[in-house]
Amino acid sequence: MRSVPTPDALLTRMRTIDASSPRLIWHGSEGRIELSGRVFDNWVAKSSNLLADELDVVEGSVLAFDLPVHWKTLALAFACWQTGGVVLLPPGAPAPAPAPGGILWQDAAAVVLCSGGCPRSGRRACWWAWPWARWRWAGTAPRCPPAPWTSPRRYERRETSTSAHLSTTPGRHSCVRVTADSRMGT
Amino acid sequence: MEDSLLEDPAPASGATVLLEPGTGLLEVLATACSMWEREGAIVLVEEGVPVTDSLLTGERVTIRPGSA
Repeated sequence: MRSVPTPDALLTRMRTIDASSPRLIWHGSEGRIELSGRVFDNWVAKSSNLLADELDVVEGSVLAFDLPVHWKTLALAFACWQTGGVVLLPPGAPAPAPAPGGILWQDAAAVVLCSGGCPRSGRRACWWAWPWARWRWAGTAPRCPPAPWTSPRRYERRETSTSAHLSTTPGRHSCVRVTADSRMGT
Repeated sequence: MEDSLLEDPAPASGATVLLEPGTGLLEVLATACSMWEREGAIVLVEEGVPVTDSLLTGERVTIRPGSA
């Protein structure tokens, strides 16, 4: 298998080579959005800060993505990789051949995408959202985890000024509920 | 149009790929990495939004995996 660039290397290319050229174009029900490499990299940086500062995501953290395909989902995935985390997709996801970009195809039941670090460190975070990524906490802590591919575990809840989340201690899930209000702008 | 991006290890530099509505997140991520490595672009379309000729033309789509 040929060597492939890490997500970090991809982001570096995107912000240095034709940085203002379109890299990601989204056609949604609310219209069209075009992101250049520089803008996408900026969104990844913002998302990385959110993951690291608010969710205590560190190298080896596993984030289960139960998100629809959306440009914000891609930004979150790259942010996860940028912080050293692992993107965990639900089983049953389509299984293309191993592809570039630091993506590892682990097995038929679980797909792990990572840019490094240990994907099974014991640190685990669950992240899920409704159709659009929105950042404001609303309501009580949901059952954790919501996804069928992980087993329920105990969790602790901690609130911050911008969101509520559950601390990431080994063997426990960290949860953030991303719900209505405070939609991210472009 | 090419039939399959993932079977092509080296899509042209600067190409633009359109991923059909309903494409899985894994394939989207893999395609994004593959395209961005070559200064290409990806076009994502939300489910329910029609892929029209004008969209394809306007976005200068050069690759459409799975299309006939």
